[in-house]
Amino acid sequence: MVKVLAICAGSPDNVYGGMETHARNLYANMDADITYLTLRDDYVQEGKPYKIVHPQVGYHYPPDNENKMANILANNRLMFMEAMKYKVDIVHAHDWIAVITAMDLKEKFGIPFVTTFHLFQHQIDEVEEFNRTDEGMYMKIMELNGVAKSDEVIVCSKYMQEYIKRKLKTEREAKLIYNAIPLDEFDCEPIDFKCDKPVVLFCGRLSGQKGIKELLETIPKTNEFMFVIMGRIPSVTENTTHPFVVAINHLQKKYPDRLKWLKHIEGKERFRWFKRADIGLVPSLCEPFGIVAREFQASQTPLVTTAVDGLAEFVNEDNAFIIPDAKPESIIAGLKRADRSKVDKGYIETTKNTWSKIAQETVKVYEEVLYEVHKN
Amino acid sequence: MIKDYLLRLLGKTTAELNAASLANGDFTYNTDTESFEIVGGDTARKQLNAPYEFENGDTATSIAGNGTQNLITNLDKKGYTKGYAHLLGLTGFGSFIKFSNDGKFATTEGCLYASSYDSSVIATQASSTWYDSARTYIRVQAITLDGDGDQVIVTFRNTYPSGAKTLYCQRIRGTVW
Repeated sequence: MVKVLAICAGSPDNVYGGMETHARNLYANMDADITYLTLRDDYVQEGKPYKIVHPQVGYHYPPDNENKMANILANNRLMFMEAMKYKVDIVHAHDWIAVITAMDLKEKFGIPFVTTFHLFQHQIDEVEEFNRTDEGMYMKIMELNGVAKSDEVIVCSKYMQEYIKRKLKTEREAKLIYNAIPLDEFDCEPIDFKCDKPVVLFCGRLSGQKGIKELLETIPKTNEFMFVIMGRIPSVTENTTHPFVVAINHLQKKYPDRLKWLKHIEGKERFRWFKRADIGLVPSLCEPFGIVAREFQASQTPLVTTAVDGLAEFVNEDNAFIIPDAKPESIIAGLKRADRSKVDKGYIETTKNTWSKIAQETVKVYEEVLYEVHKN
Repeated sequence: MIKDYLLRLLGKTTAELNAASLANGDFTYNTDTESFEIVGGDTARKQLNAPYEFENGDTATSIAGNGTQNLITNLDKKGYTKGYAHLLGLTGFGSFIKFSNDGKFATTEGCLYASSYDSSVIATQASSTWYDSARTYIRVQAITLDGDGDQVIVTFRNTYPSGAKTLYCQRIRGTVW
C-alpha cells in the first residue's frame, strides 16, 4: 500500500472552500496509508481512516493580515520540520502553501510529489484587480514553481488544464480529475428558518472572486428576497474595517428583512441550510470548478449561477438558471426566473461521479509517478 | 510598518489608520451610495488596469545603471542598458521586473521587487532560475520623474516571454535611491 504524506493547510473539519472539501472527501475514500499534515489544530481524528498531524504551535491558518508574510514563512518552516518525521513514498500537496513544503522535501530527500491546484492566486488577481500584496506575489511565484517542479499536477476542470498552459505559459499537461459530491451528507432535514420571502443562499469565501461585491450591491436594489450569506473573509480574524464586513454590517442593520449573515457553518448544519434555501446563488467571477454549485444541485435547490470557467463544464440552462454576469440587474433577473423545474436534472449531474472513483484515479496517479521515479 | 507605527504614535484611530493606509486602486464601501468604490476613482482603475500595447524597440522606456547604487536615467532613450534599477519607498503592487542589455526583455540581468508596504525594503535581486521557472516577466511601459525630480514613476505591465498578451498595467512610484 502506497504511503502518502498529504499536505493541506486547511483542516478536513473546517471547510473554507473547495480545497478542504476536496481533501476531506478524497482521503476519506482513499485506499492508501495516509498521513494528513495540516496547519490547523481544529480537526477531529476520531472516525477518520487516516492519521492527522500538525506542527505543535499556537498558530492559526489562514494568518491574520498583520505580519502575514512572516506567518507564512515561519509556518512553511514548521510544516517542513513536521513533514520530515514521516517516511513516505510520495507527497501530495494541495495549493501553494503546501507545495512549498513539498518542493523542499523533494529537494532535500528526493521524495516525489503530486500537487493538486484548486485555485491559482493568478486567477484571483485577474478578477480582484487590486490584490497588491507581498504575499500575493509570493504565492504566485510558488505556484508557478510548484507547477514546474511537481512530478504530476492534478486539476479539477478542463478550464484549469487550459489555464496552466495558456495563462501560466507552461508545457505542463495536468491530469484532470473532477470533483464529486458526497450525496449521503445531503440526506438531512432543512433548517427551521421562517421567512415570508424566498430565501436566497450564498455560500463561499467572502472574496471578490465569488462575486460578493456584486451581491452586496444587489441587496439594496430589491426587497423581494431574503439573502442569507454563509461564509467568512479568508485570512482575516474579526476585521471589522474590511469593506465586505462594513457593507454587510450596514446592510444587515438597514435591511434586516433582506440580509442575514451566518458567517461560517460547518458540517451537517451547512447542508441543512442548503436544503432550506429556496434558491442557491453562485455569482462567481472566476471558478476553477465551483463545487458549491454542485452542492446546491445535490440539495435539489434551484441554482442561479454564472457559467464562468470550470462552472461551464457542468452547469447549463438545462440544469440551472444561468446569469450572463454578476451585475445586480443580472442577479435579480436570474432570481426572478428561478423555479424548481430544473432541480431533477441538476441532481442527476451530481450522481455522475463519486469520491471513491476520484480516490482510485488519484492513487493511480501516485503509482504512475512512483513507476517513473523508480524506473529512472 | 513604520508608517503605521508613527500614525499610532500620533493617536490615530484604527479607522483613520486604515483610511490613511489606502492606496489608489484599493476599494472601500460607501454606506451612502451602498456601493463599493475604488480609491482614486475610475482614473486610478484605468491607470492600473488599462490595456497597454508595447513592442520591442518602442521608445517609451529606458533604464540604465551600472551597479547597485545606480538608478534610472536616460529617459526616453531606446532600449536598456546593463544594470539594476533600485527604487526605494515604492508603494503599490509587488512584482518583479527584469532588465536586459540588448533592448529586449526577459533576460536575466536583474530584477526589481516593488513592495506593497509603504516603508519596507524594495529592491532585491534573486537567482535567474527562480524566475526562469516562474516565467513571470514585467515590461516597463514608461518611466517619468515627478515633482522636483527625486521621485520616479514606473509604469509597467505583466507579460510573458512569448506570445505576450496584456494582463494588466501596473504603476509604481518610488524615490530614487
